[in-house]
Amino acid sequence: MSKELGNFSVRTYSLLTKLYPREFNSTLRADSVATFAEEHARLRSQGRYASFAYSSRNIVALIGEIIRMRLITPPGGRRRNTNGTHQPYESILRELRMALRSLLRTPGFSATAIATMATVIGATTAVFSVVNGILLQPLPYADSEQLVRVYQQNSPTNRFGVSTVDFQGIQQYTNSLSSVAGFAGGEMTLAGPDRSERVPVGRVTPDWFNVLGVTLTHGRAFQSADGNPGNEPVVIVTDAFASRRFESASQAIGETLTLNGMPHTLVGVLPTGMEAMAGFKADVWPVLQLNEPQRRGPFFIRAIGRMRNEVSLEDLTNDLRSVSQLIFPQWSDTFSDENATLVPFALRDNMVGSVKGAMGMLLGAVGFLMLIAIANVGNLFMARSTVRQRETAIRASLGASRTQLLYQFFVESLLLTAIAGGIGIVLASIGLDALVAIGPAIPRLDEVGLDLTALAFAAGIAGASGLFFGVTPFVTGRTESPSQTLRTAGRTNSDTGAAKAMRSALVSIEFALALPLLATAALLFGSLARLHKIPLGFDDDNTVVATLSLPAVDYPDSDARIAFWETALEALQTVPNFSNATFATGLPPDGGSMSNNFDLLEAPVAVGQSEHVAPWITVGPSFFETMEIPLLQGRLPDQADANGPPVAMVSRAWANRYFPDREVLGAQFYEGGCRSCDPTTVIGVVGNVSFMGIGSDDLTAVYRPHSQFAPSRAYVIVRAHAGLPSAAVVREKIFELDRGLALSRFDTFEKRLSDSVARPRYWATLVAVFAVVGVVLAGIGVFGVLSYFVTRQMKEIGVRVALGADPRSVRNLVVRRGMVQALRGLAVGVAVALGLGKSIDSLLYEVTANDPATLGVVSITLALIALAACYVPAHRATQVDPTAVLSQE
Amino acid sequence: MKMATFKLLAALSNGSYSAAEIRERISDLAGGGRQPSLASFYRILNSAVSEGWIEVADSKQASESGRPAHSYEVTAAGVTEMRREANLLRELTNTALGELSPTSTDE
Repeated sequence: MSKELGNFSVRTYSLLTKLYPREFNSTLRADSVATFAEEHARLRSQGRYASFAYSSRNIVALIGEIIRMRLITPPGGRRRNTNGTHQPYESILRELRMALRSLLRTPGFSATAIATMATVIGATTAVFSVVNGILLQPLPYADSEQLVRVYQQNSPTNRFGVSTVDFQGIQQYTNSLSSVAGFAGGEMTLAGPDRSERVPVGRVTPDWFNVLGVTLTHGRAFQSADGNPGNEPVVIVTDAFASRRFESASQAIGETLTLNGMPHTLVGVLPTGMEAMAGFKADVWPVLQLNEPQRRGPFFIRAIGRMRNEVSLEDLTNDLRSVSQLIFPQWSDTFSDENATLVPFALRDNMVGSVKGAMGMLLGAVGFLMLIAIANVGNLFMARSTVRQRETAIRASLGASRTQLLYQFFVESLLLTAIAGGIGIVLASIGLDALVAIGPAIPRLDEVGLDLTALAFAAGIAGASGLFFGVTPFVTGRTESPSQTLRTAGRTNSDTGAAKAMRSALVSIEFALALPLLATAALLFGSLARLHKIPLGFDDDNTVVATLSLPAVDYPDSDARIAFWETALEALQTVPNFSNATFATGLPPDGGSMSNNFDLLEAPVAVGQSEHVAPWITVGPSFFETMEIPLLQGRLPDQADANGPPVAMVSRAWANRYFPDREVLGAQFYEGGCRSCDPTTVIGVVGNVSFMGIGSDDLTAVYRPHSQFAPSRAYVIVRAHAGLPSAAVVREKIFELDRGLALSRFDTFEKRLSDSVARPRYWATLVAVFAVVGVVLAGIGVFGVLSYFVTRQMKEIGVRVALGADPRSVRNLVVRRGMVQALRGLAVGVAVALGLGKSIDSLLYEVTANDPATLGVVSITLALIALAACYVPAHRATQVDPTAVLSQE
Repeated sequence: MKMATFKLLAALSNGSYSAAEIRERISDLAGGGRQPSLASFYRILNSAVSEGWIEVADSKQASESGRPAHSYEVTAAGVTEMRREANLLRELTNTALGELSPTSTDE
């Protein structure tokens, strides 16, 4: 195999040297090939990689030199026009016209090849643009590589935000950061002239825009005094928001926005198009005023910082560790987890890390598809060159040199792929819009576009495939004289052994690549199906949910909030079709917005160690009835608990994890690290529901009654007797109670469940599309090669039939030939799939990439497709009339 | 004359060599740097042969692969051209060093 590849390299190099201009010294040309061959042979003894690197480098350099020389001196030597100046492009234009005429003479071939290549160039470029825009391009901020996100981390898998104490500690003690800022996202109620609306907000500390290097187009950025509690709250908005609400950005400055009942002065407007920063999207950016901390938590701030010049991530890591050690003893009475340390992550990696694996898989899948298409079209070019042997021989006998013929073939193939590349770029543009439009929430997806890098990528694919299509027929073609060719071409099987081998190899390659592609699609869809089959633990029918926040100004204390929630639920339950209404601060499957740490009185963690953590949901009355989550043990909270000691319900998974062989009812724990608080007592166990995403292993949850901790923000959940509850009615009922409140993000559980698997569905769909196209191309590949084989072997088949061969043996002969190629490819494909399996394991659920059942089914499917593709030409072979075929001879 | 052509002539200044040997000598002259690609080497060689500065010497010796090993040598015109270029470079070098020397003294 290695020797064959070596010969292929030398032949390719030799062939390319024929494209040197005519005046290039022929002795030097021959000597260059001989030197290449000798050097290649010497390096082959050192290993395949050395010889491959040598060939690649020198072949690419040779192509570059040829283009350079050809542009200066076109074939036929230098010519001068009537002005006596050189016209270096005249010859190229002539060749292009000839190539275009030649392609137009075979419209079927040209259209098929262009359509195939345009489709894959379009798909590959679109996917490359996505990967480039998300993973490779720097963030759109000055010196963005200096930006970091800082977390608290107490185990390799558990990290969370920072607290006011941490944030101020970083500001005060860190030398490695030139600036640091904090973000706390969410929604706020924006009072309007008629009705209030819920708007996404990014509450940020004054240095936020400075850290990111964002300059405002109107007004001013925040000043440090803006962040002091008690000062007038100020806000900065996006250009789109300012235009929508105040007609123009300049008119917006100085206006007042009432957010959660609190007036904020609008002091600045962001540049046009900047609607997300550091991965956080919001219309309104109020200043975040941090109160003097009373304890170490809560850890609600998402901190970003800018490293000083010359500071590495490692330096910063060490620096932050020192800060953690400085802070810990000062607040150890309210947070005893000594393992928790401030840790920095490069901002870009942090933003896109979750999609890195999927992006790699997508790029690999589309790359496989491209190789399948190149193999397919390469086969078409080889068949076409054989068919054109007679034409080529006539041109040769009329004086065209082999170089000129080769040059013409190159120009044709490059022209074809250039046209395909042009169409492909248009398709990529359309495809990219579609990828972004149907895409789920993927970081930086809105930054993706077709840029110069993507265009260069498309041009590179078109150029490389054009060279391959041009060189392959010549490398594997015949070397006989034109007169011999004229005598035999078109009448016998005039393929060389190399051509036959190459053609078969290309078909095998197509199947070898199609198998892992199809297997990946099957595995991803299998995972998706398994995710859909996971029991939810609650009834999701006839239910809508929406979010609602109570402004602190109007609902300053627990009593006011409890009163509102209970009145609101009563109002909703009076609606005839509504069977039940409740609220909760978290929702399945992935709306566990708050987690809390806790320490069991019976089995406290060792001093300095990390406490347990679980989703912490405050639930309204009749939450479990509305959601139809079963009570398994104990009781639900009642009115008596309102003024009693803290109580909680726990999920079965929580009970099983922390009390596997003990009575869980009556168990007590301290929550949030507070040892001086009254411990919470477990009064009931309910069924498992996931708050950490569908498929999550962690089904633990702690439920607190609203009567003991009245939330200011919660999901309102309404169930109807039949059909979906009307969102308008729900909205109206709340509006009747308080005209300043606004419900937002109305959803059904069906939609929420669908959204929670949007990413896996997106990856699976894209890979499936590529796989289907790949499989179709592979099928067409084996069909095309066998059809060609039958046409070329018509005489031999005729002789066999004349000598008594029955149709079955003729059919078997053809089918065997096709199936050998396909099965050889499938065997390699299984090895490739097994080899690449690990790279997609993280994207699968309850199945491994090397799942034998999936690989088996996919292999059998592809073998059946190959068999079907073989059958048509095989059947045609059985219809050969020996008399007619032999009389043509 | 381009520096690459000058290096090529310099590599052949004391005898005739095969292409592989010339490439190694050029690499040595450049302080052990990476060899030029075969294609650019032969393009420069071709232009030097066209100018009449280098000629293909007959070789009766076969290479390891059995093919007749071509070797190359500088012609009289090539030697003249190389001398002219070397003198030019020397003058340029002296001028540059002369310009630099006052600064060196100050230091």
